[in-house]
Amino acid sequence: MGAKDSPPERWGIIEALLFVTPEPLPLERLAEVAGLTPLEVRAILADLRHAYGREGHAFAVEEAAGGFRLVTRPDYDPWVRKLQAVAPSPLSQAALETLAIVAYRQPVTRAEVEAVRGVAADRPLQTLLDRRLLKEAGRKQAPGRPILYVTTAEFLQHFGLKDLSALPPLGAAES
Amino acid sequence: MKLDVFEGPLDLLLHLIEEEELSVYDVPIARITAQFLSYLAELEELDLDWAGEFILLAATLLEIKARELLPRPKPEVEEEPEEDPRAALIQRLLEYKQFKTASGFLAEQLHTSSRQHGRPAVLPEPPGLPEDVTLRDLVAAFRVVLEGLVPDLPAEIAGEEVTIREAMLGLVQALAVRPSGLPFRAVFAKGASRLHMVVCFLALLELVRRGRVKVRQAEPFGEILLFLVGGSANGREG
Repeated sequence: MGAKDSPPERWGIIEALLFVTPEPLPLERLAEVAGLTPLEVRAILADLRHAYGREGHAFAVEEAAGGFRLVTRPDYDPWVRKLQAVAPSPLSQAALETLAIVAYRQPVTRAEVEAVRGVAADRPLQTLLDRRLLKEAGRKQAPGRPILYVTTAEFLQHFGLKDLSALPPLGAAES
Repeated sequence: MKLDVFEGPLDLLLHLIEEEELSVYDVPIARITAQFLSYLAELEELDLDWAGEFILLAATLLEIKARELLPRPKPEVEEEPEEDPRAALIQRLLEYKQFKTASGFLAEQLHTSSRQHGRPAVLPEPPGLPEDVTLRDLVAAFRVVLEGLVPDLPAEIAGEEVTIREAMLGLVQALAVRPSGLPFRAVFAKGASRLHMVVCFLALLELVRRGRVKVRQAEPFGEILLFLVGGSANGREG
């Protein structure tokens, strides 16, 4: 280290923390570790986003599941996939509809999901549980004490949603 | 047209309504019922497990149609308002449509988000026991053993050396009582002559070649362990 080295930039600290962390880092945690206020961190995150976009970086700052993380931009998807040899595993329409119902109505029972879709929901529910997009959350105080389902943090992260309020109001897209 | 492209009876109904560019609020039930039934009729085989929901909705549609066709007697007294199946159906359709739209939003989110890659959430598994220790590894290990050897004893007596065949037999017997693996170094008895060690090493190589002995290393540069394949000392002729 020479004397001419400048001290680490504050944005560099935030960038470094995002770089090493796989899960979304909550704003408060970033602030705590960096020794900054949440407000300062938020400003730095905005700067980072701006800089990444302006300078054509491969990175983007994603806000999902209650925190921030560094992700590669969608444009680079083909190469990352090639490197990691992972195939995208899409969700069926049935699973997506089921997921939407749980996301908006949670906690819900299987019967409540079926009432909306008009068809059995066992299989899509199982798929979503297996993929950890849903989890069980106790039982409803109703006859038969049916299992209640809610969405998970993985759901938010997978779908790039910062929290449930990021879902558009139901029926908003109606024309 | 196949029924199983639809997610359910409501999906089919919604499709029929949208195809005709009708409003959900004032669907001509009679017309849509006929189309709905014609879809059902096209099914060659009726999988009741699956088509049951479709038939149930068809029955609801027919009920609404019948009510619309029949003149309704004027209520003589103020009755309790009966539940209107048409209003209930429209309510269900609208509700379903909202979630279908929402699922479209989720699909878009997933599409975008799945093309952004973060750091893998789980660190890759630490490498397990490498199955294949190469000949090069064995030779290197053997060289270490030889280097630790004092120069050949001057009074070496010829004729007492074991043959490769004998060494193989001895090795198999030694391995048979060590199912958890014999350290590579233990193959070479302390104080043995260089020639004896070379014979033992050749015996080991031959056993590996014949598939009688498995060689593993728990970690890079770690101790090499030898295992007997099959576990029995008195297997095929060594």
